[in-house]
Amino acid sequence: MAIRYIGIITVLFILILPVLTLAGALSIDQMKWYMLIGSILWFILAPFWIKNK
Amino acid sequence: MQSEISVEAPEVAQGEFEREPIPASKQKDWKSFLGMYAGEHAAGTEFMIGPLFLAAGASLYDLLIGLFIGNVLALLTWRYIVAPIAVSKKLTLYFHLEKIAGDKLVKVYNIVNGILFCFLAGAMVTVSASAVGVPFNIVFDVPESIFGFSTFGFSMIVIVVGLVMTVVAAAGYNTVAWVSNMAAPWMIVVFAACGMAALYQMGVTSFDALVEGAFWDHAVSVVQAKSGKTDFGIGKIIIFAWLCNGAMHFGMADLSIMRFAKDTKAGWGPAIGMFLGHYMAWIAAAFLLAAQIHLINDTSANPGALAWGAIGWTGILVVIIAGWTTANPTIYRAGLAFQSLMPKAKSFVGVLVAGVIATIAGIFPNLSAKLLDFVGLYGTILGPMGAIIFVDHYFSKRFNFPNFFAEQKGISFNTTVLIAWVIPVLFGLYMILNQGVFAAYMVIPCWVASGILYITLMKIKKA
Repeated sequence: MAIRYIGIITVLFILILPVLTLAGALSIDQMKWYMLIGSILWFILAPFWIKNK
Repeated sequence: MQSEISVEAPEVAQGEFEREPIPASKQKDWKSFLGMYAGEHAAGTEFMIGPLFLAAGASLYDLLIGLFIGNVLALLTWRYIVAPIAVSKKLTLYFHLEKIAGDKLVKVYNIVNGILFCFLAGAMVTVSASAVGVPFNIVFDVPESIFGFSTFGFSMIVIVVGLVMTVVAAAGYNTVAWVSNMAAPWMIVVFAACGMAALYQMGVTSFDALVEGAFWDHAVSVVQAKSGKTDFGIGKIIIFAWLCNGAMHFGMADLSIMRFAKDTKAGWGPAIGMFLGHYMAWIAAAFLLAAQIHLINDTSANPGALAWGAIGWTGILVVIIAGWTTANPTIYRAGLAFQSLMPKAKSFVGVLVAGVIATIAGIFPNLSAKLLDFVGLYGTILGPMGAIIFVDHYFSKRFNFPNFFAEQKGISFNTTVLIAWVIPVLFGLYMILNQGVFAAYMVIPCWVASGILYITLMKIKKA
């Protein structure tokens, strides 16, 4: 269950990054790298709670 | 009634029930379809379709309203045309059609259907390959000829990508659904991120600037200065958004997917796919092209390059995975079509054949460049068979002709179906290819004509 919450937070993290960029709080280069990290994290976590039934 | 069909289904001989109703134990909750469709419709091809609206000169207002209406209509078509029949009969499109048209005619239809699906999947392979090529600086250029090659390096990437997609699709529906479900939430937020990053790159950092739409008007003017002015009003946008998946809903191709549904609520399954994939993603993709024009004055819509420009490596990943999760069910559907030609073969054989054809199609980039015309054309060609299924299901009793005619009469080639299918399609093709009618415009007229023609011919036959 904890992994699932971390996964949801990861997706929200990815979504908030360009919002921060639009708000001027994050450079676009920073956004790109953080987004890649978030994406990798998502694909590491997702198989734990999205099962192949 | 549905559970009776399912419970009484005999022991299945093959893994994925190609020729049996889906048993109750294998039916899926409607939520399973949300992820499946979200993955399918938040696709790599959205990166190609979105920029079209900008290039064709659609206003931002028309785009926002037109796409909304068109997607609502598409969703209603799935829910009220496809889902009730899929849940009632729980058969693949091909087996369902065999009962009406006879196995020999279905083989003809299957070949047409499977090949068209393969070309669609091939376009998605091309899109994914375009992203794989970006880090290696391998150019994705579109040759003049339909069957012209791109660079050697790009063709090699297409082959590798296509084979990987084929192997995954051959593993079966559950694997396809799992991959789509896993990627869908991530993919959707990344599509949204693409749009927002593009807005930032154009300096559109306030709601007022977004509403004003000067960035959009500028991009439209640049594209049209290079490519010439075209007309793409709200009516055309609505029809395109509604019928770009005409073969799936009006054509009943999604019977093969929705037969796994427990109830007709599965018909709402495409909702997320429609409004995030065919709404938000198309708009975001259009913004990507607008940003590219703003930054480097480049009007070429190379999916991989567009996403790379906005969000870097994540953009490469999203184009690859979006293309992959769309190609998977398309190859799977085509595989089912070919499978019906060889019912004794293992279920993965049809999928492997479809995957190889899709990969070959993907090698020719101009096929994917013609995607917009192609989707309308395939809706026009395949849609009418859906009308025959529809009238057979709902009107056979009312008009007093036997449903599942071929099965009841023990015939293998129902010429009535052939006539009801081919005549409207030939008329539609004439209008599209000869008269220059926008392909998507012909889907519904051909569908209605086929339905009416089938009822009329069946009545005449009975008389």
